[in-house]
Amino acid sequence: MEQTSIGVVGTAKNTGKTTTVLGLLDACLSETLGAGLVGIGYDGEELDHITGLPKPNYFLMPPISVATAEECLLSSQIPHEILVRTGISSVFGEILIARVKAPGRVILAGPNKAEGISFVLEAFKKIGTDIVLIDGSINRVIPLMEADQVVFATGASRSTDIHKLAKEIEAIHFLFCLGRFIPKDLGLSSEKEIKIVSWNGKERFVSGNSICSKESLERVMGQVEASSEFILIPGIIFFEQWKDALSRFEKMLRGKQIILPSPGHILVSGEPVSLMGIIQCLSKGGSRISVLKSISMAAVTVNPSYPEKKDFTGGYTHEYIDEKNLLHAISKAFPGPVFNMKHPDSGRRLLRVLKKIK
Amino acid sequence: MRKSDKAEKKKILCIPLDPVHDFGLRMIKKKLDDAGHHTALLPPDLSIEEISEQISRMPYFDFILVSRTIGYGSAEILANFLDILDALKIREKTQIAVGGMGISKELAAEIGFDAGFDASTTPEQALAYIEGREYVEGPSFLGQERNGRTKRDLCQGFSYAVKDKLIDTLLEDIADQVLTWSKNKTTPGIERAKIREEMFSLTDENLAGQDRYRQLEKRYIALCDSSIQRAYMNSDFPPRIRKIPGTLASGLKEFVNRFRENASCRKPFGEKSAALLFAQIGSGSPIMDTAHIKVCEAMGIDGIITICPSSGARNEGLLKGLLNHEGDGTLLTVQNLVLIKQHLDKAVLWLVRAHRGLNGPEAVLYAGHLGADLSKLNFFYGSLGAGTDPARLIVDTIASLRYAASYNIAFDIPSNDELCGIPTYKSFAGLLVMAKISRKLQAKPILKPLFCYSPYIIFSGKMSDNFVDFNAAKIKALRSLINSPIWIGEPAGFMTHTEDRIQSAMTTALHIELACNLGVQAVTMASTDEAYSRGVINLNPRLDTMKGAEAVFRFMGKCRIEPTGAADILADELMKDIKSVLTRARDRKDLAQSIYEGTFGGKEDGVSPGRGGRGTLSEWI
Repeated sequence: MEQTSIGVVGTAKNTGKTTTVLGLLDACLSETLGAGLVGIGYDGEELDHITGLPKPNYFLMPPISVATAEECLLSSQIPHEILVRTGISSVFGEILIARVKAPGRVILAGPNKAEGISFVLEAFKKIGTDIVLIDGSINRVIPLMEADQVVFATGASRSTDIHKLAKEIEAIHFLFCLGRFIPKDLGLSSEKEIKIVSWNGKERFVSGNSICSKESLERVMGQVEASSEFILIPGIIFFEQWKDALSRFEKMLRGKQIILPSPGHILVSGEPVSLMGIIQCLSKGGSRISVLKSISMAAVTVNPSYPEKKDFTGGYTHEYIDEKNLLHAISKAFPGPVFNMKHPDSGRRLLRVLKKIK
Repeated sequence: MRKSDKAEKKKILCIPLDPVHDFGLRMIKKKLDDAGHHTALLPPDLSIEEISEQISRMPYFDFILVSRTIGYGSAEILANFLDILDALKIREKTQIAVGGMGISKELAAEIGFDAGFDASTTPEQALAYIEGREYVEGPSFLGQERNGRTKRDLCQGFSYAVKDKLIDTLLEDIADQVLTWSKNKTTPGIERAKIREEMFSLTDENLAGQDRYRQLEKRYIALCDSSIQRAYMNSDFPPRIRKIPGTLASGLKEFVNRFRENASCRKPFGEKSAALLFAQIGSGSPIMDTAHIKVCEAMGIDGIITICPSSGARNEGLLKGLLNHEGDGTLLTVQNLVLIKQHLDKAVLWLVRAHRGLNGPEAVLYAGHLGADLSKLNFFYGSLGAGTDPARLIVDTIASLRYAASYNIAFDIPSNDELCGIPTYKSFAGLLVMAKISRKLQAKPILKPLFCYSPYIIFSGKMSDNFVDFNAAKIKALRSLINSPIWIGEPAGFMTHTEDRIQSAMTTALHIELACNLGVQAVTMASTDEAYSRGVINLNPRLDTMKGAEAVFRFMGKCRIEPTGAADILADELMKDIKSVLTRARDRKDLAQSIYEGTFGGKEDGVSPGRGGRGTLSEWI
């Protein structure tokens, strides 16, 4: 089987990323698929730093391979065989890939940026791992854009308003469905500066890799001509800054394509629902937003529980929103499969979906 | 850890990701500027978009330091910010660290920062991180003699001269009388101590030596109570006492080694305050005691008091083996004490208690032989406040004093009989008598008054306004009477504590500060739950009082707590009353009888002489 990598992205802390990954790992084991595991950053606490509530932890079975920091591997005392020394350093030592030889608990401490994830995925590929699962961190998304597919984990920790959650998932899906721009011979993927390319091949550059303010937007738009066709932004655009300027630049942008590296690069720049609205407006005005790397948003998992402050002493307890309503609302907002990973067999069903998409 | 590249100056951008607060970053920036690095500081209250715009226009930085107070929702903001920096391709060459309230190394790593610093991070630590070197707070005190520091001799420089001629005469007469009276007397406690002394002296590991040891042990057991005998003969221990498995002791060694490697340590209190600070420790388990001791050492404690069980004082004979006791106090066995001593920092003073009960001479022998620095002796308190027969305890204590003198270990004279209801002046009369007897035997006494809210003080109203004047009067009176070291007894502020840990830490710390202001040589502090613990004493309450003392020392600096003029009046009253007690005792010409008759505390005070060991005196022929 050709390797596939699946990133589990959370819309917030405690939305069920680890539970999703654990479910998928179980499913991989029962289907005797070679599974690899890596996390963004550090994930090892028994209790949440802020709420003090217990967190799920990684109890791994052989022959799962795991990428984690050397210190974490040693302190876990799990019997293992080191397969790869990645050379990536972290606060807890070098990141290694090791095959688990007996059941045991492991603390994950993986690369904390996109570059590191990419390197680790390549290393997993070299050792022949079938599926690599990437456990996201909090609501981080950029490093997970290195994956082939993503699963979004959302739930009451993000908001107890089911309608808001559904709307947000709808917007996120919208962003992940933005068209993929095929650069042909324009070499856009290697650019470090903002590049404006005209239909006749003429190129103009604007310093910087992102549009973070109205001033930088003005500078970029100052270089856009009637003949301009593509505007490549290697970084991000804070689209919400455009709200006021939209009417002014609408004509100028008609027929042009704004290209960003990935859906994640759009998602980090603001609230998904607001971003969707702005992009839809641009589309109506005849502009197009596309991405260099298109990633499939394969599924959504939901977690109806959330931490609630108990009383004035500051302690937290688990509370729940209506699970049925949550599943129903998210299923209406997202055309793909939606799972509550606490349900039996959800891991297997999700894995089947992911394998089909690959 | 990056290679140290201190010589190269770094470019650092400081970002307060906070509506208002940037004080921490400003302090760090100053430190970095002073060290020659190039820094820039953004103002607080910028949006992430504004920060991103500024960063994207700035030159490249080696480091970005972000500050934020963590709370529910902040983790997502920080994670999003990190993603944006990732997307801006800042992270390719720049290390990004976060710090602030609630931040920890693990939380920072969870979010994906390259480093994390909590609210206690100092600018020096931040500088060390920037310069790629290990931060070393100061020399570690554990496992060494606190860098060449030697233990302070609490008795050094004191002549023990009694300044009032009349009182001196009274004390001389009383001391001479009791030493003469006790001269030919012995007790099972003394005889056991002699046997133990010979057992300690056996160095031959051959058969003859082992045989002799067994004989001696048999004789020892014969002098013990039946409950102790059963333990020796059948390993049938008294209730709530059991053997400690060997694995725990070896596990303790590993714990101590790891603790020494990883703990950061504070300066000893004795370097910062006028008085040495002691902690009393007796959880019932020498293993737990050691763990507590290591933490106390790291906090800067100057000395440790090993507290033995009060029940042990009632039995003739001490047990043997590495034993746990489920109750107050850690059993005095050779093996328990050896374990504690093994892991004790060489520069920390160690006191082994012996002042009450039927095993005093042997306890002091243990203290001397096993390397303790101090012990504790007071037959007044032991007989009026702890249940031992006065005559028995006087004879035992005199033998104990001889051991203390021969091993050159000092001892404190506790005045905890005040807590039983005995008026201060009677208790202090006892202190002075003990001191005089000790000096005649070349022993080194340390007077140990309490700073307490005792029953006598409550009824007499002497502390109705404040806790300062009468305590100051105590010290003033003692200093006026005798040139002797003074140590405020355990624990400081007794009976002023409530179950509220904050209140308890506060009152302890203030009493410690008062003691230091009054020029005493040492103070003992307890944990905040000491008086109210309904089980094992935990580490956090133990830290409470030490941190409280630190905070008060910092608050007061060179300032002083000053008593009012009432202290002088109260001191004069005390001295007058002490004189009349001593006069009565001298005129009685029989110290033991004086105690029985209540001269040093009686029914009117709510105490009666103890009965433990009554009738066990015998005379040498």
